[in-house]
Amino acid sequence: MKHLTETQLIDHLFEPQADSSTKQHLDHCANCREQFEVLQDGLSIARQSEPEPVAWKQPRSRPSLWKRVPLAAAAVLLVASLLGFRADYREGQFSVQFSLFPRSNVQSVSDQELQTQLAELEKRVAAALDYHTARTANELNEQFAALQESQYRDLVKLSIQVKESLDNTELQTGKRIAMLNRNLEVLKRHTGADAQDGALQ
Amino acid sequence: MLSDMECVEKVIRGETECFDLLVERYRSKVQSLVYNHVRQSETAQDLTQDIFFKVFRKLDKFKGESKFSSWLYRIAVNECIDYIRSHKKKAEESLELAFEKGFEVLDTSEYSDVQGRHERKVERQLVQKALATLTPEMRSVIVLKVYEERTFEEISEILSIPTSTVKSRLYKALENLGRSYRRRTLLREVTP
Repeated sequence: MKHLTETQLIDHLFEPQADSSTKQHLDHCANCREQFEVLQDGLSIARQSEPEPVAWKQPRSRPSLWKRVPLAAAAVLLVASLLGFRADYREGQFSVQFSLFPRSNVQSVSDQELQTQLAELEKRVAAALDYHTARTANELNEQFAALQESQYRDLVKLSIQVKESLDNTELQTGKRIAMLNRNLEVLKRHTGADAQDGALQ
Repeated sequence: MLSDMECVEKVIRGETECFDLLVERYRSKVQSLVYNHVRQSETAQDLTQDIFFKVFRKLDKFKGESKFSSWLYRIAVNECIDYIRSHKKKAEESLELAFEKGFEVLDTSEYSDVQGRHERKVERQLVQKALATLTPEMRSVIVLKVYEERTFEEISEILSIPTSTVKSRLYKALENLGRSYRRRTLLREVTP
């Protein structure tokens, strides 16, 4: 008799109604039936070991990694331009210059222009300060969140350790009780035998 | 609503905010898939972040030959397999912890039944030892078929292997579990 293949056994395990000939074969072939029962045991073990569902924490509302890369680049460019750096690309050459005032205006500046440039500079410094303040606040928030997270982890570790210690104690107690029960059984048997001997005498 | 493929095309063209749509759409599914592999919620969350970052970087390589979801799950499963392989010892410890949590019965009436609890604990350890005999690849097919209840065709597309190989891998995984469990139960029965 030809035995069932791995595929047929697996198909029957997950869809028992799909093919009645497999069932008929299993009813008559002890070898395949034994193999099928091993698979059933395996499936039952797998199902028993399914992890408990967890309540997921909401991800933190910081920008995702794929957003942070362009954001970081944009931030660097913004700060650089606010501080007076200028990037230039001419004839295949890339260069960065630094100037507080636009070059073309440096040579002939009237009082009016100077006032405008100073006002412009003040604006740029104020914007840079605002940006720096916001960034520091963000960094502090992130550090605070990281600290909270690490404390939470410590707490989880501690509760796991306490639980493990309790479980161990319980396991030891369980073993001792089992042993005492066995001793009690033996004692009972002996006592019963002695009583019977006494009755006979 | 934008389809997965439309989102992918937009992200490749530079509209990175469309990637958030994909993340929102698949985050919980990927997270659960990863958790079923690594059995540790914090690790699962970290790995899920890594997986989406990897997907974002590889997105231009996705040519639409399979469904986007299958491609994403394939990356996730491979990432889990790599993780389990490189953290084998740690993963086993986590597995033990997950079992401890998973089988916890918070019923105070059972506190007097210390021997019964001891029996259940031994039973859990047998199951756990049987699971430890599986390779990461075997564990993946069990996760996909038994926990996620996917069809053999879906698993075949996700793992990018023929359906017959999926069935054969599942057969070996379940046979391993069944035989290992039987062997250990027998040993336990004959050992005083």
